[in-house]
Amino acid sequence: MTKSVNLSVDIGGLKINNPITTASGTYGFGREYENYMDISKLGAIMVKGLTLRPRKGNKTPRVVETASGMLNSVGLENPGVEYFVENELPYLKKKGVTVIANISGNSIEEYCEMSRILDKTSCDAIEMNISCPNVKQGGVAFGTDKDVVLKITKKVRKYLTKPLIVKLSPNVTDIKEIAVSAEKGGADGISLINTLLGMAVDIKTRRPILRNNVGGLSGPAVKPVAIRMVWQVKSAVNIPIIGMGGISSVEDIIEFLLVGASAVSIGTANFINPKISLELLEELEKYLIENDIRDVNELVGQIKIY
Amino acid sequence: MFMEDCMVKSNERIVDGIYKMELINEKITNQSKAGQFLQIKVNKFDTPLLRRPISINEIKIDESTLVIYYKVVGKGTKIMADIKTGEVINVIGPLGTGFDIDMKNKNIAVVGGGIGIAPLIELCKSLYKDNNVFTYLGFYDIPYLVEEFKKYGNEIEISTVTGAAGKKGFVTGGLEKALLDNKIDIIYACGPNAMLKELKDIAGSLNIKCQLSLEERMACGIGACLGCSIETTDGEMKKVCYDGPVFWSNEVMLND
Repeated sequence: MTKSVNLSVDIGGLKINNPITTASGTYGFGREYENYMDISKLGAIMVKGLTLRPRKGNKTPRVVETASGMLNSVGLENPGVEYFVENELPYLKKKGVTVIANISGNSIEEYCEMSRILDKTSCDAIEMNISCPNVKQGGVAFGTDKDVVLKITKKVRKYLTKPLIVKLSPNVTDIKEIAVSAEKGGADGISLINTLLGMAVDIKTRRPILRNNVGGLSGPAVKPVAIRMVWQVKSAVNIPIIGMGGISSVEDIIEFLLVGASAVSIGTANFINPKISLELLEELEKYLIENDIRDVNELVGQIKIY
Repeated sequence: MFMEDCMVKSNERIVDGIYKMELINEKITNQSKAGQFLQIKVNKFDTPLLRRPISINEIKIDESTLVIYYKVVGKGTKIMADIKTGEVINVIGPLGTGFDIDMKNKNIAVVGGGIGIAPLIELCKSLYKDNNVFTYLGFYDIPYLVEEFKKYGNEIEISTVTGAAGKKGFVTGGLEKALLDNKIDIIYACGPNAMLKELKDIAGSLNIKCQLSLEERMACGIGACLGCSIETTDGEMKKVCYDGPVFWSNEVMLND
């Protein structure tokens, strides 16, 4: 008799078949990976970050490898929310993909307008990226001020009947207070971590390698920071968490579940092995069977702290 | 494109810092075209993390073999240089769109600089039977691959920065006159950015069609990370890995 395990999870009303999702900015609009895997088998796809208007992004070089990681300064290149709704979303839904639309804005109004547009579509949930600079407040990222996080989450919430996931920036002093603000503001779930701000220098030219000077660090190098932050956030809020940051093995996934993530996102690892997300799904199922765990939810938050 | 384990048939130093590797894989070889590239995982570990994009030098269908030439520039390529015959490495490919080689009875200039000459062998192989191929190669010091190029072209001109062989200076020096003398209809080029910029200008001023194979830092190579996006002259964004690496010279803007 083959044992069956439950892999389905509920992220604040968003029910997904398994806890493996792909992180925004690392998975395009899904199509890019179809040569390598069946994208409909994923729990969900967080699509490339959308803005209200199309954006060209930053100049190259936009990426550079660092020790067990990489920096990127793509600068949110995307075709805009309307193009996505008309040209990418229908395709993904036809394929049976659970789609989480990731949104970025330069003002609270832009976030609200995108939410209003997306709420009328067939996308399954919204992931709000609050790591973007707030133009009206001198370019300081929305996600670094707990009062701003509360305010933006409350306002965006009003435009949404779909689940709202707030994606936190790790570039803060106290991740817990930010998470609490998102929960108070009405978020149905929290995803973290976004990239850590970093920099790399070419010592020959004495110039930064990235044309944007600084960029976001991702990959295995950031995993301990992500694990710590998921653990801290889990202790502070009651809404589900999607954990991400440097996942490249099933052991990494288990770590995230143990510290409190209900689901995970695969990010940078997609760049190295374009079918890793499905390989990890199979390995996760195998792990559960071998360890006699009938439901993946049983692992969530089961860390035994000293 | 496929993600496949490939057996390393050979891996040898050609001149200082330049290596040649032969990879056996039927699926990838059968689909490859001139100007496409491979994303190579140099080992099975997290360090280095990303794959290394390397252009295809030659496609040997009969032997299910792809030849690549690479320059040791950092940690990844240093590890590549130590790979032994018989080892297996993971490769994604063929990637990118490659050169437009649908040409007949044309006078063609093939211009290469440094390690950028590598993909031009397969290009010349695809063109030389139906066209006149004039090859212009620039090296820093000691030339390599020259005998191969001689097999697939009418004339070949070498320049070196140090003056070690051929004409002293850059490959673009005196190129305009050569292009006019040989009544060139189309230029194909791959090399350092400064060379490509100059060629773009030369092609524009002489009104000769020109295909440039570009290089950008990239993470995925499959069009997902948007690390290698460049702006076209009509304001669109294109991915060097997916829409390129080959572009018409009047289609793209080149960074300084």
